[in-house]
Amino acid sequence: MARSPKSVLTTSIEVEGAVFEAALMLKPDARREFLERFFRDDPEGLANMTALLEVAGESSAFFLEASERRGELADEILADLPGVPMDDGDEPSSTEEIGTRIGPYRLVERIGEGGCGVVYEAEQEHPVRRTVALKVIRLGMDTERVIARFEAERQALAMMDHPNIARVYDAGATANGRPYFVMERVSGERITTYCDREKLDVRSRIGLFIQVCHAIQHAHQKGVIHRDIKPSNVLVSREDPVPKVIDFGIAKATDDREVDLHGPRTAGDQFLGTPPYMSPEQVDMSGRDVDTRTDVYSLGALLYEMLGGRPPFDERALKQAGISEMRRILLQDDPPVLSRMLAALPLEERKQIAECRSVDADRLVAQLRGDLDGIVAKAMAKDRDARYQTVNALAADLGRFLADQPVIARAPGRLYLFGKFVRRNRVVCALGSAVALSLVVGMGASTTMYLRERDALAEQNRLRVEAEAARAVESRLREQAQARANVSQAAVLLSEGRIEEADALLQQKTLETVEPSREAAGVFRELGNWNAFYERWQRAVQYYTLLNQANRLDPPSEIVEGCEVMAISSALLAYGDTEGYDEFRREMLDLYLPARTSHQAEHLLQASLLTQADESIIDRLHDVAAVCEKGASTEIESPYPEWEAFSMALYHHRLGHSKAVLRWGEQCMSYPPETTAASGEARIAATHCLMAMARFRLGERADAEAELQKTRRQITEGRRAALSGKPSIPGEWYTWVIAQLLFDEAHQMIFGKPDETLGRN
Amino acid sequence: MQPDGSRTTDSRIAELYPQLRRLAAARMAMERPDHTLQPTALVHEAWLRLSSDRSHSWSDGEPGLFAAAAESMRRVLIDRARKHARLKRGGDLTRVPIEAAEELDVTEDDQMLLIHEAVNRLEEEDAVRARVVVLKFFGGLSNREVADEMGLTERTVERYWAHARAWLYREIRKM
Repeated sequence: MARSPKSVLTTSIEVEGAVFEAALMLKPDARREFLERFFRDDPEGLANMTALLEVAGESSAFFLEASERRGELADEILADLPGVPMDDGDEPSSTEEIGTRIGPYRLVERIGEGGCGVVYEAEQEHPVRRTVALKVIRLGMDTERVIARFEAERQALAMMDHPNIARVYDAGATANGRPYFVMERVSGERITTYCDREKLDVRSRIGLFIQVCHAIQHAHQKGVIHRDIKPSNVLVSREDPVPKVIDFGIAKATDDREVDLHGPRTAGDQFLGTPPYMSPEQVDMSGRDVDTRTDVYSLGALLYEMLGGRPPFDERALKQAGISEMRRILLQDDPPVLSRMLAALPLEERKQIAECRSVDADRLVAQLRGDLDGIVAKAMAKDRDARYQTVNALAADLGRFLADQPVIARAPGRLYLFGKFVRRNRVVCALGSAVALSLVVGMGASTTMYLRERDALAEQNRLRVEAEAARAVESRLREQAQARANVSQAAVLLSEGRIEEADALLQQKTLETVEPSREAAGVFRELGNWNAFYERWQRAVQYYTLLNQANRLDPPSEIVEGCEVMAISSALLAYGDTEGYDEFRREMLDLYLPARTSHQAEHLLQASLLTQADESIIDRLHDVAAVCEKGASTEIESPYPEWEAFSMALYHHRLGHSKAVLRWGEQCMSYPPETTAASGEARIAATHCLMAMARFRLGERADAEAELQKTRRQITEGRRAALSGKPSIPGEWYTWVIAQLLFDEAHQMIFGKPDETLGRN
Repeated sequence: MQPDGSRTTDSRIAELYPQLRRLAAARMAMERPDHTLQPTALVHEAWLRLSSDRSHSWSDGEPGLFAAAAESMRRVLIDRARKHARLKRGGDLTRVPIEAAEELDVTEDDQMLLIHEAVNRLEEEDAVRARVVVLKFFGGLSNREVADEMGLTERTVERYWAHARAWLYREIRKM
């Protein structure tokens, strides 16, 4: 009696396992799509699988906690056993003898003991004679894998060369099978201890912290993520007070949950790390990948402690909470706002902390409140898309704080409500689905064989899927990290006025891999404007297209208040991309309507009516025009009444209301060119073009021709003059582009052919 | 008192000594300096000795050496957890009224018993995954050891364990 393939597929636990694993690898959107496809006619199966996936992370925590209990019970049972010695040396000693040789190293002195092992000073004799730090890891079982993972990253580690990074030289296994790592010997104390002892004030602490950021950013550029940034891994020596970051590569090598060459990790049996500094994605345990933004989080936690004197989460409370609760806290609860945490401490503690920062307690709270609260919170955002996207961006914001400039972190934070990152992830999602789909197809086609040799086949499928996914994840992470780093670097270059270098930097890499962020938006805006000024339209359009995507992170009203919509519109048309322009203006109306102020209305009218528009567009602008007209006609204060008049003239031009065009045109001209600093001449020229067309339509051909001829010279000279200026104000170049566009349109209308004397690029 | 009537005398338990030591040692992970939560730093020498010295074992070198040990471990651990549960509730488990039981926090003892029961259910669904759980969770074996014991690859063990863990937890939440 044959069962239908569907029921076989959905009932077999083997298939459930394969689907579970495939789904865990996918991002939420792709996962949903994959599941809906797989369980198309099987709502129950879908519900079951969804429940299973939802508890994946929690189940890890649950079993970790249970294993603690299991140990306690074992301990009790042992204690009840009569006549069995409690400590008979079954447990090998956790320290090595001084003087012992491990590989080419001779142990000289025990210099410390951390959570993850014992650190020795050791002498290396070959091939070079030097003193090193040798760290023996207390692991036990997976020595070979630890070393294999270290080897995999060895090349990247070797490429790191930075004064603030302690080099990692070597890894191996001790005689009794424990992994060890050999590092540059750094003598020093924890950065937090150093700062307190030296009584460094807030600004000096930030200066020191920025150096740590540079070290981590350097590592990120080499493709190395630290994963375990905390005070005990950042040392400062008294003699040479620069911070040194130690233990690079070790967290990755010893983390069982890591993606390795065999495929994506499964949530592990082990909980490695220092909870107050661990990012939510590290704590989650449901198999999310870790990227450079994990280090941004941990740096935020380090900064929190350096400034506030306490880690963001209370270590003892976390420990007592148990693993499940700790996981929940770190995933869901925001740490107390830095300055409020400090203000809430008992007076004595607060005084002590302030004293270490050479200020009085109240002053310290005031120093931290606001910008620094915001910077720390942004670095430690639960959603990694809401954090600084690179370590450089964090450092740059701190730099702005030190220079008393406004910081990015203070901008409103509710920008991530609408799944705006779908676009960014589209390629990745598609890739994920393709992989998942190949798994499904493979299964469907071979159901019979699958039943007979299901283990073998499933294994094959899995291996293939895993290999593909691992490669995709790896290269995507590298690319994104690189792109983020480039954007940050470009931002730094721009802040130093090195526009050409910034442009060249971004051009040499694939711009498309850059994720939308506020920082990226700023960079695109500036480079788009710069290229447009020099009439390099193709590049300008490229940047503006990306800017347009990144802009969706900001509230629509802020975008329309700015002049970006006009800049993007005119750049598209100057480049000759009429289709792109049409798409842009429709999208603009979708996103930004209705207009709330006459200023917004004026921008919307101008940006969407640069070429002939069909009814669907004109109709939607009816209310916008009403708002604009009100602003232009009433005596209430309007920042740019001359532009409102211009936009009204343009609107009526598109409607074919020639008399109204003349009326608004006159009003626009009544404001002398000087009214609008940079673009007054161009506005007047553009208005002449509109009025020439109106006269032509009203049958005043001679007047129309004369008016247009006058304008020709105005535009040629105006553009030339503008080009000799500086590319600082976007208003100038795009107003000339608008004037040029309207001139061309008028020439075609009045003379029946394009103008040949006026050069176009 | 034992579900399957087997003896759990002190001498029997004493034979499990190395495994119990290992589980107890794993717990120390939470009590390390620096408040760092450690990987379950299993003390593996005891197991290694056991596997190399098969005359010492309960099953005289038959395949499934660890499986037998893990089942024994499961039994003694669950016995101990039941004892706690009885003590805490001052009598038989079944006498707790349902409303009261719902209000009780899931104590750590219950956690063990819940896992035990869920594993029984998994055994009916899929004996292979259930065995992985018994070996890993009750026996305290590493992935490598489970792989050797069952003739699977280490990766497969990891995958089975991740899936089984979620499966068991889902069952437990239904209980």
